[in-house]
Amino acid sequence: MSALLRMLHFIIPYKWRSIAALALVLGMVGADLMVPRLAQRVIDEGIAAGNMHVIITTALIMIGAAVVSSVFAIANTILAVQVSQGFAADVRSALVRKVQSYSYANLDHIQTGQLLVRTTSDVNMVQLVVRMMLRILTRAPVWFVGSAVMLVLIDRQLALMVAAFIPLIMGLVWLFARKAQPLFLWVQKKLDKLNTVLQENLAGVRVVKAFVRVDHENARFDEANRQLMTKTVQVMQLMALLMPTMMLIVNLGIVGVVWFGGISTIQGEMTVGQIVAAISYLSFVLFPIMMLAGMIGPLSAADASASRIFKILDSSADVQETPHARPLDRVRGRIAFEGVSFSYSGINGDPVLKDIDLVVEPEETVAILGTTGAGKSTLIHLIPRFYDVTAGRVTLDGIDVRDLQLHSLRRQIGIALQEAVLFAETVRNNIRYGRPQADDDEIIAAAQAAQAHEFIKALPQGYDTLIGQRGVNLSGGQQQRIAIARALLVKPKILILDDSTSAVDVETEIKLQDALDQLLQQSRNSEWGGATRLIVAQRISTVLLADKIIVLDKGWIAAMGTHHELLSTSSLYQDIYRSQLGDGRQLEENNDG
Amino acid sequence: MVRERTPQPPISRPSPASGPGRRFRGTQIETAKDARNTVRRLLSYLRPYRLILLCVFVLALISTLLSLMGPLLIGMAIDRFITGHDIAGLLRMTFLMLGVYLGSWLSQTGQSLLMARVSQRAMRELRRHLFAHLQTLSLRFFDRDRRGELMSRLTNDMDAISVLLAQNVTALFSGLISLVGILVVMLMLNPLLTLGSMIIFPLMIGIVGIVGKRTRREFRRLQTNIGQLNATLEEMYSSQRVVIAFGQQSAAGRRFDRANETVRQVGIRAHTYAMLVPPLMGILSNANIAIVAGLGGWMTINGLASVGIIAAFIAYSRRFAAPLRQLGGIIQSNSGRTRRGGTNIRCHRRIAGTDRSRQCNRPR
Ligand SMILES: Nc1ncnc2c1ncn2[C@@H]1O[C@H](COP(=O)(O)OP(=O)(O)O)[C@@H](O)[C@H]1O
Ligand SMILES: [Mg+2]
Repeated sequence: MSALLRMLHFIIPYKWRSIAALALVLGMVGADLMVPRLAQRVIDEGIAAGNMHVIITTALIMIGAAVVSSVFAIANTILAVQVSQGFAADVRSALVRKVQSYSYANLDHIQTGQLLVRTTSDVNMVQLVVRMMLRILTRAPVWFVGSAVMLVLIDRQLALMVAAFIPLIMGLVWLFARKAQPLFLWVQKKLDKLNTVLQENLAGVRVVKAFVRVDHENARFDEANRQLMTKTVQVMQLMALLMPTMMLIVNLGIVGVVWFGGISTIQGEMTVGQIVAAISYLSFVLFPIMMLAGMIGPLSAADASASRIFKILDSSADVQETPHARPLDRVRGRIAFEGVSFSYSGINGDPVLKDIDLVVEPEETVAILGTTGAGKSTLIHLIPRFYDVTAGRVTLDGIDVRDLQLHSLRRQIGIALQEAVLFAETVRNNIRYGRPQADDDEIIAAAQAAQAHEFIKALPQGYDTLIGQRGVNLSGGQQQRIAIARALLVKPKILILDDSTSAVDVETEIKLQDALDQLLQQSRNSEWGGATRLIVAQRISTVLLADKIIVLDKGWIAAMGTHHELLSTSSLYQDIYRSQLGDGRQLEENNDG
Repeated sequence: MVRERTPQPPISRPSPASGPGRRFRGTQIETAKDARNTVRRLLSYLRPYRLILLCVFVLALISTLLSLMGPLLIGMAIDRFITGHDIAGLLRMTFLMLGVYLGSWLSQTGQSLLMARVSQRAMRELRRHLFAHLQTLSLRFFDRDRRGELMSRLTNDMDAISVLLAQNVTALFSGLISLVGILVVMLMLNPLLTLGSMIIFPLMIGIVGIVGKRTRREFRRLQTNIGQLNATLEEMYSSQRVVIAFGQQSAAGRRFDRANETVRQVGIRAHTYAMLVPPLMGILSNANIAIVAGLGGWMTINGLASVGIIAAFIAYSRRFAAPLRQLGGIIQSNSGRTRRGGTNIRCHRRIAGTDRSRQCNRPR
């Protein structure tokens, strides 16, 4: 239950309302507890004495008690709902804030689906329990003690007999809690396991299909499924035993009251009214225990949810700003890799980049070439500090990027990621995503340079066309061009295009490169002041005119130089050159949208 | 007397439609027919267990009837033997009560044990079908960000259906029997007092009806808003890399904050309405006791009732509220649950439409 207890931290802003909610319960239980006592008075002092006046006044008091009890209950409800909803909103917010602080490495380790479940059902489960607690936590003990006291007031002997039952019930609940708690946790775990298998299969559907591992996956799922069923049946059967048994115990108590109370009454030591009241209080004693027992399940589930939530809240961003980080103002755009090695799994992991030394001068255009998996994307991700180097350092204008304020560093960089992720928004909003204050002229200029203006104009609502499920579906090439426009619009000092024209046809790509050259040329004379360009590319045609071409191979820089230099010195480059010429110019537009 | 409470099923995750557990796609309006179809489809998973289910229902009937006898016997004990000073009779009655309570315990336990087995087997089947079906789907369905949505939807719907199967089928049944049974016994005992104690009943039903209607309206609003919040979250999480690349964390945060705040506010309203019902039912049962005491007292003085009858009526009044509350709760939450089950199965169908397989129709 420790995770759940830690969650109480989020209640602190609502502590007064919570306390009030818990206190209101006292009034409610008090009024409830009066009712059997009043019924006793009706029977003993009204009916037995033939006193109509007592009967009527007592009945009226009872109605008053009923109303008072409900008013308190309603007030408690209102507060409990306010607190629990506020609590849920706060926890969601904390989760979102945490994810916002993440870097790419964090995101590698957690799937969107998981994050969603944390923020939705897990928060919800905890919220539910918070609400239940605020309604039950004080009610149960007060009710318990209150009705026990009332029983003693009615008749000591009877109370003693009932007291004999209480340890029995407590013992039963304790036994149950001890047995059930681990089972609940177990079920929760099995459920998670099942979800994991399901999720892995959803995420890896292609893989499963490709390798015809369907049978294996089915077996894996069946096993998880069977285990979940077995344990759930056990839990439910435990519950099935507990609840009726508790009821039986109370009913035995009632039989006892009828028998012993009956004899006392026959002997004139008790009254019928007392028997009736005692029976009511007896049920009252049990009710809270059953409430608490009924909460064991939700409590375990909420605890599991809470610990999953804390797994996220306790995680720390892999890339963090140092306290002495400096801001950047005037950037020239010189990038240097100094003995950089990088591994996705820490110092001891397999390095993906090995001992990279590389200098990109301001306003240079550098092309990065290499087979899939060579480390191109990894290399450029180190510049905006999406990841931190494992060894060596990356500098911007001579300053280690780790010594720069993150925001200030990334503001200098416009990047089109390899996977062009667009938002379900208008085209305009997508392009100006990085600089929402940009005006229409700037947006159009960026789109024109990215060779996107023409097709955007042809869309149903032009720049106001919605993209995505509720709007138009764009082809892969179109998405990439919008992503490039988005990167251009922030007027970056460093422009990074990660294989961003892979789905664009060669003609358009050449136009795009020319337009880019022109735009950057013009920018030198404006406040933008030109940009350093890094282009990851597949096609030789893209890189022909670069100031510098880097050929990456298995994490090493295999060759570096201009097209002509490489053509004469690098056999790897020659191979690539030949193979692409052999293919001819691939003039395909991949419409994969 | 003990207020009956069905145990909370252990693996239910979210409360009925009470939070951003799932994504309601904008305009999907459910019709009653949808819900009925869903229920039928779900029940088809129970079909192989017809015989056991029959046993379950018979046991439920027995246990409900036996537990209804309790107050009756108490009343008789008071009137005939305690007031009549008949110790031997009281002893006989005590043993009879013991027998009845033991019988009730046995049948109730048996019923729950069986039901746990059946419902979880059915759940297992359902999960198995679902998984097998997912494996036959066209790849298109799993593209990009749909996965997260599908995943959270599946998890939540499964939980919801599990609750529906495990708890409600029998609870609904015994709740109904309890209500009818109590009414019949009370009428047999004393029609006039029954009438008197039912006086505020229509009033309460009316109030609960009004509250219920508002609750449903507010919950519909809440669901729409939760859908928006989930959509925001989903987009935010799945595009987090772009958010980072362009340093737009705070803008994304503000968008989330707006959606989050709306859900909080609408959630407070919806849940407040929903939770008004139990206190209102509390008035019903307590005020009922007052009326029984007052009216019954007057009638007893005039020889029209007896203390034993009053005692039995008090016990029944307490019991009456419980199944009523339960039924109310079930009906309310089921409209949410079947709806959710509905989307699940609809999504099945949608999938099936794009693919030749029609597995989601299998359990016929
Ligand atoms: N997020 C990641 N976590 C772990 N390994 C990764 C990750 N991204 C890429 N890799 C691995 O690092 C190597 C280089 O990948 P990448 O930089 O994407 O290559 P390229 O962009 O040249 O195709 C590959 O072997 C790839 O499998
Ligand atoms: Mg790459």
